[in-house]
This record gives sequence, C-alpha cells and structure tokens, in this order.
Amino acid sequence: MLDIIKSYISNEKFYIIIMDSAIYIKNYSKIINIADDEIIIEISGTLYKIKGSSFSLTKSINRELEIKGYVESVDKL
Amino acid sequence: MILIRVHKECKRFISKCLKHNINLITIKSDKDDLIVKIHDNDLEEIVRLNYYSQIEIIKYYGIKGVLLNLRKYFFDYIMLLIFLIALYFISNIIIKIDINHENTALKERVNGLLIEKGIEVFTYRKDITDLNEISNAIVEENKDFLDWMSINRVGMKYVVSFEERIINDISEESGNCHIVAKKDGVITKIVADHGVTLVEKGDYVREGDIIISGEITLNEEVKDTTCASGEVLGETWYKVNITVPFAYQDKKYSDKSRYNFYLNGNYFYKKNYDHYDEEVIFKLDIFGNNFKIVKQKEYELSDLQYTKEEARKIALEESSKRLLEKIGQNSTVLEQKVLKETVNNSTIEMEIFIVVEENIGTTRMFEVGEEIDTE
Repeated sequence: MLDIIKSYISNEKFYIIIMDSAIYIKNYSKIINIADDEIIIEISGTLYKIKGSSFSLTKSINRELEIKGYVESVDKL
Repeated sequence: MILIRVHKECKRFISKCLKHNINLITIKSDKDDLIVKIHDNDLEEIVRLNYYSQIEIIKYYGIKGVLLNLRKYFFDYIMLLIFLIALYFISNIIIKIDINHENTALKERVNGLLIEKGIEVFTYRKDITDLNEISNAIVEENKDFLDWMSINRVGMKYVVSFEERIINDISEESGNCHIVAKKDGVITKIVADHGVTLVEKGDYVREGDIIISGEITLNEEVKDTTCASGEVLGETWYKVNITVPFAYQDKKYSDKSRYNFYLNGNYFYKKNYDHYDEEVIFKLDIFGNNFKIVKQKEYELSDLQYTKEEARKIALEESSKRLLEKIGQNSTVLEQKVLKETVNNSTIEMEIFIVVEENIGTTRMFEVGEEIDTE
C-alpha cells in the first residue's frame, strides 16, 4: 500500500500497477484496444499488451486508467 | 458531477470518450447498460459525440443535485415540514385533565377553578413554573376547602392532585354546645345524635330557643356537658312578591345549522342566521390566539302572550325557585298561597305566602355554668 502511495506521488513518467483483480495505469499515451481478454496500450512510445480475463474499464481520468479484471501477462510489443 | 446511463453501443461510447480524453470518473455495468459518472461540463460533448447511444441523466451531484431534488420534491418537503410543525404543536397541546379525588362535587369545583386559571383541555401546555404558580394561587384563594394542590404535566395531559382542608368539628374543639333555632318555626322532625332534646315534633320554637341541649341533667342537676348535634327540620314561612310579564318570546329551533370557524374575534363565514345558538365543538388557545370550531343552530323567536292562568302558574313556580335558591336547595316547599294578586295591562303582580320545611338548627357554644337567655 505504501509503495502504491509512494509511486503515486513520486515523479515517475508512467507506471502500471497490477493488483489481484484490477490494473492501474498512469500516464499512458494512447489506448489502442480494450477488450475482455486483452488491453493494448501505448506508453512513452512503447506498446504494451496486457493479457488476462474479465477486463472492464472502471475509471478514466486525464491520463490515468483503472481497469477491473485478472491479469495473466504483460508483454512489450 | 452527473451520473448518466448509457444504453446501446457502450463499447463505442468508451472508445469515443477515451479518444477525446473525456474523463469518466466511474464506470459500472448494469446488464447491457453502463452507469457512468462524468463532469457537468463534459455532458454536452459526450451527447454530441455519442449520438448513437441513448444517454439518460440519472442524477446530479453536489449543490445542483440538491437544488434539483428540492425543486422536484418541493411539495413533499413542504408537507413534511408542515407535518413536523403540526406534530410539535399537537404534542404540546393538552387533551385531558385528570383530577385525582374521590369526591365528585369537589372535583367539579376544582375543575371550575382550573378553568378560570387557564388550565383546560385544548390549550398549549404550560411549563412547570407556571403550573406551580397557578396551583399555589388556587390554594391561596380557596383556603377554606383546599389544603394543598399540585398540577403535573404527563405527556398530553395534566394530572391534578389536591387535599381537602378538613375543618374540625366545633364539638371536638370546645366540647360544649347547644343546637338552637336559627329562625321561628314549627318542628317537623328532630333527631338528636348527642345531647338532650327539649322540644318535640309539632312544637313552635322561636329564634334562639334551645332545641337540643348540650347539658345532661338529672333531677334538675347538670351531670355532664357535651356538644349537642343532630338534625332539626322545621316548618317556616315566607312572603314573596313577584311580577310576571304577559309578553314573552318563544324560542323554536329550525332544522338549519352549520359549522363555522372563529379566530380572535372574527368568524370565517359571514353571519347567516338572524338568531342562533352557538356550541363550541373544538377550542384551541395558543400563544394568545383563540381558535374555535363552532356549530351554529338557527332558532326563531315568536312574540307570544301568556294567559292569566299561565302567568299565575309561572309566578308560583318562579317564586318557589327563587326562595329555594336563597335559603338552600335542601329545603322543601310545602304549600303556597296567593295573598294578593294585581292584574295590569302587561304584567301580573302577586304576593305569595310560602310554607317551607328547612333545617332550622344551628350550633351555639356555651361555657359550663353560663345561663342561656332564651327569651
């Protein structure tokens, strides 16, 4: 928990937090695709593919995303 | 912020919003719909961009939401407020007064005193200080029969308790008294509880004569003294003069009646009947305002004339009634005789001789050895 708070207030360019049943992404550049089992997102010029299940967007404020679901893998494309 | 429901093309809705960097504060699924919280400012653009989706505003948050809610349910809030105010007032209105005492006559008397002081049903409750002041004032003004009184408020009723002042018998205080005649008369009944009877039924007594003596004598020697007591009834007589007019007004109620409202000297409905009697159905005194619901019954007055016989009969009845009011309702009228009768144009004047049976005994103290002058 403290790590999350620390990372939130730290001056990182971007980060992805993976939790038990959710995923939090800060400072993404562009969302390519959000599907039930896959999220493709561009962050600082790099494409990331997050695979899992039951993905559903629950929050989108400025450049932050909160997505509910179960993550199986995160790959750089 | 606003909560909206998006129906149809939900995925396209999210893509469009993400693409145009429109903030979606919270997103929830509800069957096939999305429930989304957005900023007020974004609504117009969202509707413009997502014309293919059906967007319905569920609620507003913040002050705007409160104001809209107030406007929507304004009447309900007003009714609720009125209800709460009415409930407050009603719960502070007294609806019953319980007077704790076994003597019904005393209860009625005390009730009358309470009403004079403003302690009655359908009035606003008084606080404990006022109640104490009122109870003290009533006791102070009625020391002859009240020893103590308390008025307590229990919910919507007053509970009144009081103690009667017991005046001790003179006989217990001094021990020596006679029963003497308080006026001239012929004894019709004599029952001695204590003392010796000196007269019999049928004897004529004059005012001051000893009827029941407190001296117990034997062979003309006073052996003992007591305070005589008993019942002495005697026949007495009075002369009453009365005048009765021949003309009178007969009051007859019609079938018409109605309800009216009264507030501080003004009636809600205008006067409809020339003559009417008013019956108070409901009364409320609150903060100096006097409100009543009354029933007004119309009656008609007719000018009529008694015949001589009727006027004579009324004169006899009225004279008895007035005499009994004066000498006490426990007395009985035995006989009436008209001594003189004068018939005028509009009145009849009569002088009536009335024989009455009443209590003619009264207690008089004496000291042992004192000579009683009965002449």
